[in-house]
Amino acid sequence: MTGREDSKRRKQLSASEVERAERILHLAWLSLPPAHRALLEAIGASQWQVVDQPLGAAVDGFLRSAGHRALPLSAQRKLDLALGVWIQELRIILVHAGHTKLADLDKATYEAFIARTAWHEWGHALSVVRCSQEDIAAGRRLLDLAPVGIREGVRGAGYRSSDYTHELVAETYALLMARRQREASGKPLWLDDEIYNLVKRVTGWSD
Amino acid sequence: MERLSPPVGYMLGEDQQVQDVLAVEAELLRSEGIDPAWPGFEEPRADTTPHQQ
Repeated sequence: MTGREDSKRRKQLSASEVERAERILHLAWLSLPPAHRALLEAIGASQWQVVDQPLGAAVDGFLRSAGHRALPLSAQRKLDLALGVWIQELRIILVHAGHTKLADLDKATYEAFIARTAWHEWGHALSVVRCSQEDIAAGRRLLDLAPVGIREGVRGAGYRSSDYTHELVAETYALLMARRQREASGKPLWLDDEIYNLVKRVTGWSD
Repeated sequence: MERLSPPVGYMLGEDQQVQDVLAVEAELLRSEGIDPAWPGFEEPRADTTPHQQ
């Protein structure tokens, strides 16, 4: 089922549901260390918008309305499956709060996952801007060092190997934020030193 | 205008659900003695400014 077919089948979010997702994103932003917020502001990843349509169409609309060329259909189709995305040209993160994978979640699970999506996108933006070509080239090897559940998640989502480093940084950043939200700090026992050092260098993580 | 590479979104596998992702996270947290239950957010002070567009 494509994103567009999917969007025809499910009901649109109500205004209060959109407002709820926006509120969670705001609280997720405030949960970041102040230095990270400053870094994200500097790279143009401190703005966000909740949308209720597949992200391929949403990104295409945002780009065209800002005077950019249309997003190729193949890229739109791939993005239609996404829950969140950072549009570097427009310095904004979009979150698809009405995604079918978010349907029928209980309140706590929904909040935890919207926050995780935001943390992932902020980590992803920092990775795209601050990783070196060598970091990107090492993606396959670095992914092999990741905890098995993270490794399988990234591989199973169908990313290109050139995206592995960014996805690994994004996932690790989201996990470190999940720990921080529970008042844990320091290097987790389950995290490889090389990945931790990469995340520290790229995101400014300093716990 | 200059076009960067198409943006890459946050995707789950076709058969992967939100609960699967959070279960991986919970297992990692539990492995170091952290309660994986979602703690929620503290409400912010009134003087903070949202960044929503």
